[in-house]
Amino acid sequence: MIKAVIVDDNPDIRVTNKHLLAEYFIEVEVVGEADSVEAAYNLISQTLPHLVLLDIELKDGTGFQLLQKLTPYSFKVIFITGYNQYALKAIKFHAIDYILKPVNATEFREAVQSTIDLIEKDFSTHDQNEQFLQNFSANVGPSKIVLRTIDALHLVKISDILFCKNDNSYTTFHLSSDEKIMVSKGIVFYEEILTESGFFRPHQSYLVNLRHVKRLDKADGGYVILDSGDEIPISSRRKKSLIQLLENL
Amino acid sequence: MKFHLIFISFIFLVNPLVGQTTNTKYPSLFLGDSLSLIQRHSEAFDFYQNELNSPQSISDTFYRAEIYHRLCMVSEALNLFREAIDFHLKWRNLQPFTNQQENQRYLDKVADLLPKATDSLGLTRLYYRYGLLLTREANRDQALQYFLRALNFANGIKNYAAVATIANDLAGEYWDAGQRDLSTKMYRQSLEAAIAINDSNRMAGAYLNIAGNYIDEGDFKTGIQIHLKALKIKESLEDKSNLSYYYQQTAEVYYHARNFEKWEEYILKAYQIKDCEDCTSPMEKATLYGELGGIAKHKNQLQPAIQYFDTLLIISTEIAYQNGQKTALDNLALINKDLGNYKKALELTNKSEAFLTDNPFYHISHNNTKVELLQRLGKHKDVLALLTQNIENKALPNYASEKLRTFRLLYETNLQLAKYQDAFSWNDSLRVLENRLRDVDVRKEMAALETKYQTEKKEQQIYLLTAENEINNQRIKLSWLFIAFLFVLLVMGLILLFFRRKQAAFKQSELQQQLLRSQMNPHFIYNVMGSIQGYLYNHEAVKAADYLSKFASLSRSVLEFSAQESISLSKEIEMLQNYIELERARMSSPFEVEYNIDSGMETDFIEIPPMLLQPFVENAIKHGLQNLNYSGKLSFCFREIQGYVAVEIVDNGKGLPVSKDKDHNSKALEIFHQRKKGIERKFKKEITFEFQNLNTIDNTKKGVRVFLHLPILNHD
Repeated sequence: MIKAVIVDDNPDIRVTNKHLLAEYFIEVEVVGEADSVEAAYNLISQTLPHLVLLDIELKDGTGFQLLQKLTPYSFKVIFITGYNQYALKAIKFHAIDYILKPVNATEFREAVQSTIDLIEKDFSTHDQNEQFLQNFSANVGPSKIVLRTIDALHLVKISDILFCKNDNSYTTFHLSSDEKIMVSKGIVFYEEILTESGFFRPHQSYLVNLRHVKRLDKADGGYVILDSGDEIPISSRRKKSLIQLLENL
Repeated sequence: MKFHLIFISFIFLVNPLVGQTTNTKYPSLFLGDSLSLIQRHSEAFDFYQNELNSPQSISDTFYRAEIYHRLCMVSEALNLFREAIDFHLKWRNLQPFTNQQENQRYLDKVADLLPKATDSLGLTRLYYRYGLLLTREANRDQALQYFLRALNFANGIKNYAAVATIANDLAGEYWDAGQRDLSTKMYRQSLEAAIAINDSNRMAGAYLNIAGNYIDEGDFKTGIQIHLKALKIKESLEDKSNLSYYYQQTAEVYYHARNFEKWEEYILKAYQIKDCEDCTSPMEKATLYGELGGIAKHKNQLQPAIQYFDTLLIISTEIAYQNGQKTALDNLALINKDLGNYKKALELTNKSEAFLTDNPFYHISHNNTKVELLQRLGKHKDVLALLTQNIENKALPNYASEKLRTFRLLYETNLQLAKYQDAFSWNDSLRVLENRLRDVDVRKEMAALETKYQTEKKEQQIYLLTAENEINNQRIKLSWLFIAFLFVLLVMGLILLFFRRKQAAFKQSELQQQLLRSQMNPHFIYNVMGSIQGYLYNHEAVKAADYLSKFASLSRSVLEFSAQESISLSKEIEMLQNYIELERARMSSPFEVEYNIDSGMETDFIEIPPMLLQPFVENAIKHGLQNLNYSGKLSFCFREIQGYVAVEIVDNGKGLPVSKDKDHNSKALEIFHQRKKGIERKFKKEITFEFQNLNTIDNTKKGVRVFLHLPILNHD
């Protein structure tokens, strides 16, 4: 039995989530609900749930404040959020599952299932949590990204990533250690969150870490040559902005 | 609150000091008293402050005095010395002591407190007010000390307005104390302060007071000289405040100098402005009638004189102006004396005695008047007694004309009593004084001064007129300059306006574009809502929820993209799919959809104007694919052709109506046309579209094909 807690300041959304959990996840039992940081803190301390459905905006604060108060914690979190681009980016960065309001049944099922997988496989999300909260409190750009594969959670230094390659809705991360990590998310997902960390997409299928760019080869429509010797093709549409970007580095 | 009271009354019983500080006469002050007893002074302070505004405090001055008394003590306990002194003074104003010893103790107490207060401006005021209080207590020596300290403070903080006022008051005190030099010195300090702050009213006042000192001493020449300075300030600044007083004072000087023409002239000047409230205070109006009476009497027009003095009496009584009442009665007495009605005259004199103040002038003058009457009645003994009183009065040298009168009366009385030796001696003093005062030379000089003043005034007028002319000339020059400047400004303004307009127009089109992008067809929104409603009535909660979340997802995209000028082709297609899913979800037998995207196209990189395709899809569904009795199909084909995305949208629906009138143009297409124009203007790239009824090509086929060319915005 998986014990779950729902934290949201909107009672209707709590009803929806409870309803959807009951309908699709028989193994999950909702042991309590809360609408504020304080109430949630008490509830979680008492019931010790495995899973917390957590809204970002609460009555007396934010979901992050709640997590900071509870650190270290071992339960898994699914964020529920309306329209908070900044928070969403951090959540995506740390491969934490999330649900957008209003709740879509399909997305809900996917997110909860994905988190239940984590619980059942007994993955420790300790490093992930710590990284996530640090990223929030320090208010600086993240130095690590969480990559989730079928059998593990990888905490990867951003500077160790050479490039990413797209392959149907999968993305393979090529690291400087020659390691390759394949994640079941499209390259656009990573382009969105990594652009601010100095990544560039020179081609439909590639996302490159500009730190590792050695030079540009302009022959044959152009290639980006990396430190590792890898050659990444450049789309003609992206050439101009890539050159501009490298000049400004 | 109840707990408080019980607790307090306990202390009340055990504290032996209670009897000293609390007064059981005022039970309403009990709480405050108790608070201060248990050292909660600031609460007590607030309580008493509040109590000051209570109805009882407002109606009962004893009660208010009592509160002030307590506030003094509490303020002292709180080290609020300035407030403590303030409350002390207020308390004393309401409740004077009758016991001399207690009074002295009080004065010492405040004197002790004064050095503890630290704020200079506040201190100036406190010392000054304390000085005023001492004056009222007739404690002149101490009052002088405090005035001096106040003056020092005011000088220290360079508050010249305060210096002027305090020095002026001090000068008055010194004069009354017989210290004429110091008095004049103080008036001069007041004058300097007034000059420092350029306060013409105070300046003129100081001049007048200085002049008064000289005149009272008998130095008419210097007196009138300074007097005219004061008048000059008033007249040149056209400052009418208290002007009547200035005229009357000047007139007075001429009267003393026996220049009766000038006396009358200045009184008439004052008379002319008697109805101007600014220039003439009620008191001055009263004295004016007194002067008019004096003039009439001098011309021996006794009846008009009586009328003037009666008026003076009436006005003075109305405004409770004691000196006025007194002057009227005295003068009426003198007229009656001249008319031979000695009894009536004496009666009036006695009546006027009631209005005597502590001002020594009136004592002396009253005695003189009384003497004149008693002389006629032959009461020489009383006469001598009164005159001796005058001679012994220390203030007599301050009032030259009354001194003269006293000397003359002494001479006359002694002559009547056949005391020739004394009579001769008094006559001698009289002549000496008279000569000094009415010396021909002095009078001549005074006349010369007057002429000089008048000439100066005229010269000044001429100067002013010349200056005005000059100013007018310059004004004309300036006007020309100003017009030229305005003209330049106007031209610049027009140029600016032109550019602004251009800019605004640009901005407007931008906003318009944004607005158009964000317009989701309201008809569509209501359809969505209607569908949700339908699901709810059919208890299809899951469907409703699913439908709602699809709509949320679409509106999320519309919100996000409507702020952007361009969007990647992949996102545009995603949004289109979202929309089509929503439309399909509403149908009982939804149509099929097919997307053909050229594999070589970089859909993530190609940027196009957002949301241009939706109106055509909406059109295809609404007019083609709804309510078909066969399975519908909608297919898309995207290709890249030389900087354009070529889109083909094909449906197998009913086809376009034969006569395509404007009513069939959907709102969506209307918006499309508006946006098309804006985008084409901005990017200089054409958007083309073409409708084709499929049955015009092939009779067996149904439906419509739309060809669209969308510009790729990031194509070089």
